[in-house]
Amino acid sequence: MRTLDKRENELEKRGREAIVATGLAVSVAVCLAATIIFFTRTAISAGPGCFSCHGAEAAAKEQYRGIPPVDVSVLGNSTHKKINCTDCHTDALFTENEGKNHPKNLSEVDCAKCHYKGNTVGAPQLTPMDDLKDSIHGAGTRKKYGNDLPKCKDCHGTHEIYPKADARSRTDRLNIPATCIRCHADSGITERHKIKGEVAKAYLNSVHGRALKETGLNIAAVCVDCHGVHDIRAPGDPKSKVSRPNIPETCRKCHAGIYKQYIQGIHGQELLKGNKDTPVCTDCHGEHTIRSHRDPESRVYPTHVSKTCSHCHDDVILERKYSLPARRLSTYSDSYHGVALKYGDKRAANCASCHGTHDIRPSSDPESSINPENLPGTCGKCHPNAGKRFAQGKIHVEATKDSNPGKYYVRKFYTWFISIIIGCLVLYIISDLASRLRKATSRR
Amino acid sequence: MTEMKEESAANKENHKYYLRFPLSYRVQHIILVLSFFTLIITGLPLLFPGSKFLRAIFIVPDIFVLRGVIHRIAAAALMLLGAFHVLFVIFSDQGNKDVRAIMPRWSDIGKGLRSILFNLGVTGDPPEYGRFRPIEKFQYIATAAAVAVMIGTGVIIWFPDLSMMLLPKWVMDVAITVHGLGAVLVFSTLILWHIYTVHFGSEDFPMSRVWLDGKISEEKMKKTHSLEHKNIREAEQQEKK
Repeated sequence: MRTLDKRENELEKRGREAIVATGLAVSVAVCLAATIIFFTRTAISAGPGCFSCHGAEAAAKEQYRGIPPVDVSVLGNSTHKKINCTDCHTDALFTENEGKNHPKNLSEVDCAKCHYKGNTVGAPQLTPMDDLKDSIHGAGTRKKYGNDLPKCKDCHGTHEIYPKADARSRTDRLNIPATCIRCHADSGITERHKIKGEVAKAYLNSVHGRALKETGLNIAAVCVDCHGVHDIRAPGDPKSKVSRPNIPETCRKCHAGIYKQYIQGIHGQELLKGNKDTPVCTDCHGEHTIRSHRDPESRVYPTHVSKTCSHCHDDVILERKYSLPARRLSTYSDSYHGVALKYGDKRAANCASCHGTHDIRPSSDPESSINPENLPGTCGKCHPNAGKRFAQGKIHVEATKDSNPGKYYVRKFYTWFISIIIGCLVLYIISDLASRLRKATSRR
Repeated sequence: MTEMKEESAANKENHKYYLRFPLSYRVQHIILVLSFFTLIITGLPLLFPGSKFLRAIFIVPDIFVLRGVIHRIAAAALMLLGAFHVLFVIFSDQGNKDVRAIMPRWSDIGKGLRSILFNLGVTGDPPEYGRFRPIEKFQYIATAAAVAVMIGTGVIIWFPDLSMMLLPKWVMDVAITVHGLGAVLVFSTLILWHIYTVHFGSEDFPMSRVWLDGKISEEKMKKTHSLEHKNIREAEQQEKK
């Protein structure tokens, strides 16, 4: 082995220096990069960057007055907790504004940036939001409703959006009435857009609202069950879930058994034929004011049933249009059942006691409760031992010559008889008074 | 009729009284009054179900049901009274005599017309009445008929299940109509005829006490039941002989 000569020593020395220099340069570069990355990352994430002005401590300081504070704990528990502020508030990006504070009024957050069908960030779209644009809350109606039009944040909230199963979520079933009522019972909005504010509030006293409020029965119908979620349409719109012909299908979602009975009965059959006059669920039960049939304020409480039915069955125009038997209400009211019910005796038969509730059928139908073959059973519900003879003869009794000659002639006879008797008596009284007068005058 | 003498302290005259209605009559009549009154009060509401006034009374359904119970109790009382009365007129002497006297005769029509004409000043003489004036006979017959009809139809209505099992339904409808309109008839006849006759028609307005104490004074007898008065006088004189 020979020793390196002068030139070789120089090269080696330079080589070693180069390695050290490179190593140093790389370290410095790495440190610098890390520093830069660290600081720029701070500007994007929910770290000291945004909260230095929008945090709770900042709110106490004089210089940050007027800046809207953001509650960290709310954000931290919300469903968006892993997302950066600037992912939604895109125009607040630090780097975009050349290191200065972001402009005073940020533009509106566009939720559709992530919440669209087929998005890759895992943003849920539980109900089709494409329906929104055609719905009554859609962008198409913005001209009409202006700033009153609800946006995503009006129903879902802003920073306080919670996961669907969370009870704190504004769209949790138990909270939905409150969410909708915020606008639908707001006096300003209801006045401006002619919304019936008391209607929404009436829901809270209905059987559905009470079940929800008082016992937390979250399967009770709430606004979205009947009206839809993003596809809400005005009741007059034929595609609306609450347009009259669609109502039975809407109620069917929970009341399937009753729907089955209804659709087999005459009212339901007429609905299938497209008859616009036939009653649907809400015609008898009400809509936001629906109460249990055991509630004395219900439209189908025993003492109110005859009034509800007579809306159509005591209407001369409808009677003529559909050849319905006439004078149903007056003949019922004349009968003992009608009289007793008017005096509050709930045991007495009302319309539904004999005709049924949902599967009302004409008497010609062999399954009808008022078919002559079935009448003894129907009457027998209250009158045990009601035999065939019991149910013979007219039930709705009219005092006309052809339908009930006995009653007709008795009435006629008594009318005459009473009139004659009273007439005779009046004559007698007159004659008696006359004689007294004569006696009195003759005494003078 | 028995005779009673009473001293009147005021006039020192002998006010002679006759016992027109013995106790049995008065008791029957009072029971009749009470039962009629109760039946009408508890029955008429059924004819006016739309009345707000009546519904204010029957404020709770139980009151309405109670009304029905009271009506049936009074009806039972009336039925017992009716049965008693029938037995009474058959088996008691007094009843026998009086029921014969109260039966209307053809002459009553004439008497009735004459009384009206007399009242109007057309004829000169007032007619003479026996124990029962035509108007009183009419009221008795009318009451008896009305009670019979009301009890008959009432029983049919009282047991609707049984009635409708045995009889055609139209019988039930007719029974209800007759019962209701019969009630109106009784009510108007009673109030107008009877109350007028005994309160305003009698000479001792406001009210003659004969239905309470059974006594009728001699002067009144002479005025209103002159024939009977004559018969009694003759009978007394016969006895004296």
